[in-house]
Amino acid sequence: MRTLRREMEGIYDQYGSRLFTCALAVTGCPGLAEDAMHEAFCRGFRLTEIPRNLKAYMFRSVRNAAIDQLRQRRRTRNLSEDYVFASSEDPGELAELKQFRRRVAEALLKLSRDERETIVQHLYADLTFQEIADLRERSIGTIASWYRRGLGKLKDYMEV
Amino acid sequence: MDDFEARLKSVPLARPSDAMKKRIFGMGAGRSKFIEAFRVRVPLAWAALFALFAGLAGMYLSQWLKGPVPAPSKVVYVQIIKAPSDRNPFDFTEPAADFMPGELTGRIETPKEI
Repeated sequence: MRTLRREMEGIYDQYGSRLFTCALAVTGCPGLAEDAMHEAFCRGFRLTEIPRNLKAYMFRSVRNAAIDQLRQRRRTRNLSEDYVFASSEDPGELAELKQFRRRVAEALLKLSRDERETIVQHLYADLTFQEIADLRERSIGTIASWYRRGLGKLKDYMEV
Repeated sequence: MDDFEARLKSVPLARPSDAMKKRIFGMGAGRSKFIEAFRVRVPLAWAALFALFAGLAGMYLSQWLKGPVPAPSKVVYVQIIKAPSDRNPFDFTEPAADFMPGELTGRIETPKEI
């Protein structure tokens, strides 16, 4: 017998990191992203039946919870300087890599919210344009446009 | 994916903390498959019916273990209507040579409850 809890645990094991990245793309703060994930899964536990596409449901639910977290805390502009990247605490890490990560994070924070979130969802959370379009209830053309435009801006910022 | 995208993708991402799964799924996050196999959803009506039967069975079992319960004692007044002899058969002040030969008719009245 399929149980909702077991299905959700499977989703967490398979997509937990990507869900976290999606939440982080919205909140820009690891603590808030974890709160959003927790809230989304708690909402999931209250479902009376398993959604047809549980993966899509959870991505949407995590994103909505992340937006709710921002609204509740009123921290829309308070994004972490590391943004979605791991904080550079490893002393053995190459200085060049550290520098690159810092520049990517800075450049991402200069993009519009839609462009930034689309780039993170596609590039880092491995969601297809179609999945992002379904998730955000936009056309696939709009999503592709945000991605290409954001990527172009990133290139420009990084080359300066 | 071009070289620029591939380079962007090479940057390590932040990960959720190790305690995250336990926080979401509670103490059962790391439970064994054996325990998980017994986690079956049961309709509420079935559970209620089972609880009812379990309660009744428990009640009967406890009565069976205690054995027969003696009837509660009660004071009764006996009025002798027709005795076989003149002697009051309930007079135990002297030892009786014979004990109530013949028939004894009586009526028992329980006292009225206060």
